[in-house]
Amino acid sequence: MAAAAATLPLTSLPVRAGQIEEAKAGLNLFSYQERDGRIGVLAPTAWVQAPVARDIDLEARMTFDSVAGASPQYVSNEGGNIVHTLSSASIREWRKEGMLKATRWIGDDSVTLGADVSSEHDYLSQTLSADAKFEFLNKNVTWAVGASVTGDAIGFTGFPAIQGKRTTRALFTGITQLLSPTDILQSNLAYSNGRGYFNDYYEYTVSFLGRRAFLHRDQRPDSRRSVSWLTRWKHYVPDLAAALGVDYRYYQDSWGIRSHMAEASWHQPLSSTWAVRPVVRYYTQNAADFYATTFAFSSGVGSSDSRLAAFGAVTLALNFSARLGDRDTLEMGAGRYVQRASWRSGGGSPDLPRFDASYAMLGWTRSF
Amino acid sequence: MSCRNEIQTFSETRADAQAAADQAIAEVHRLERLWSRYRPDSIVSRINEAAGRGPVVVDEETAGLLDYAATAWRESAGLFDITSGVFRRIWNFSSGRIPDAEVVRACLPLVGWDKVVWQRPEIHLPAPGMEIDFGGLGKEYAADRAAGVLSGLGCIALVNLGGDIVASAPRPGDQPWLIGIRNPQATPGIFGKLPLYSGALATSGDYERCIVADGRRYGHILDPHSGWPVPGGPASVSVLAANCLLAGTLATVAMLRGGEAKNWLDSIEAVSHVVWT
Repeated sequence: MAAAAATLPLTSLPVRAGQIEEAKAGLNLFSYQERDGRIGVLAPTAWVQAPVARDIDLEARMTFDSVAGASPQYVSNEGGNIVHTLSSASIREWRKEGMLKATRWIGDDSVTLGADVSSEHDYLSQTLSADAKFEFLNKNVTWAVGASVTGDAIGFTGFPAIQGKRTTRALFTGITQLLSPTDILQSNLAYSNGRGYFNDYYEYTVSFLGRRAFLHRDQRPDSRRSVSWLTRWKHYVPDLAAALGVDYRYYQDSWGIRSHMAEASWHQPLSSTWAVRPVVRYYTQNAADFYATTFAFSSGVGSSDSRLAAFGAVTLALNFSARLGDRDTLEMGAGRYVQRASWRSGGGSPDLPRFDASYAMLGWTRSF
Repeated sequence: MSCRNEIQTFSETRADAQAAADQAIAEVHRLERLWSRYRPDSIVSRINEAAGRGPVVVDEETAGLLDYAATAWRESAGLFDITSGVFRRIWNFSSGRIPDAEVVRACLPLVGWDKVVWQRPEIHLPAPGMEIDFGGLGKEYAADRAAGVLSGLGCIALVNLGGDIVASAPRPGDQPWLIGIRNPQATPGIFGKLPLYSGALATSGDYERCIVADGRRYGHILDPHSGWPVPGGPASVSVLAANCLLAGTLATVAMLRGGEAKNWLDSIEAVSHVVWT
């Protein structure tokens, strides 16, 4: 019969298909290590995604982080130089996080409701979110819009004992558009408004100024509003079966921080099984309005947290993915993050120590 | 064509894609006008009108499809038979009643491709009341032709004519088309998603039109030798092959082989994937 069909004026196509997928599940292991024996994180995650009813998909995810190592505790200018000191006590923390999302499909459009809970011994964060996606122009354009509210509760049993609460409301909207058979562009705008407790309880600054010494505990404003704009472009190169990815994100908030992030990646299949994806990212931010390394007062808004300083950073990463059989995918990657005050064009915060960190990831996905 | 049809296509500009889709749709309509048994001016209706009277001369395209039907009949040991449409008169699937054995037996002399006189380009149905129809061939052929029109115009396309699907190439970025495979046991819902990069998918199934009487299910795929549905077969089978015409024929013949269906399809090289439910 195949021979008979071949005599007719019909094209004979190569047959290429994957296995029928109903559900997917996966295991991920993420490892993060800061240099100089500082924080190390190991985070295994398990997730599953499945259609549970007609037009309803469910997704669930659980993560267990373990955090170990010393964390920055205080900044002091004793001896004339600014010194960042790590906590002498090494911490070991566990964090559990669970996420549940339900998506209802209405034709090609969808609505998703999500809940996320993250808890550590002194910190509980709960988020409720809702978003919707609409397809236009025969699925050439997707418009997404969403909102979320997060409630954080921070309780420190140290001395003095502190109870802090924080509520953050966020909105986002984004458009994804197919520009051509080889190009896809996505642009997202996000707004966030947080009110409540933002201080880092464990950090403080000791300032020796003349004959006086000030101990200033980390204190930040009780609100933080931010806007961020992310644009991503993916360009498929058919002759190489490869894809170029270019991302840019701009961020600005009411603490005075403005940052730029630019990233380029190249996805290259090496064989029918393996693909490689190198990534390079450049990040730069200026300092928060209340960032300083010495304070001539004990109380009032101010922080010496180096994450609020001005700096530039480069990340280099290499990711590999492998298709094993019809149902399994393996992904692995590693990256190095290097941060220097001098790498910010226009200069960074003086006395900011260099910061290096590495990360590695291993992930396995199975389709059912 | 009374089923839901859809064409998805990518091209340099939206206008190009629309123009290409229009041409593909025009091709499908052309074939419908040519072969539909519901249109009195189609070649199929003219052939059936002339049953018991004289031969009818057919065009090249119809001749090609009749040659294919003849080969399919031979290679399926008579299971695939385009003259078996006669049974449609006595099996009324919307009534829910099974016909009398007598009535079915009375139809048998009118069924059988071996009775048809086919000498290209003339076809003659010798007994009045005999008929041919291209159900199981026409829609699949049209899906293949529509996909051919689109890829000839430089488009990446997915053609879906009521469940007969042809993907000429993957979506941009070597992404597969996700085809929902229906679960006949449940109310219409997605059973799973088949990632299709290229190729044709045709489904033959009993779940849409069947009669359940005395606890037994009588499917609408009838064995031309007996006039009765084949027992012991799967509820549906979807076949992936190099074109839709072949996929459709293989799916139909598989259903007609009843319990033997799986073994038979496993032995065919032209088939690369099969879905059973």
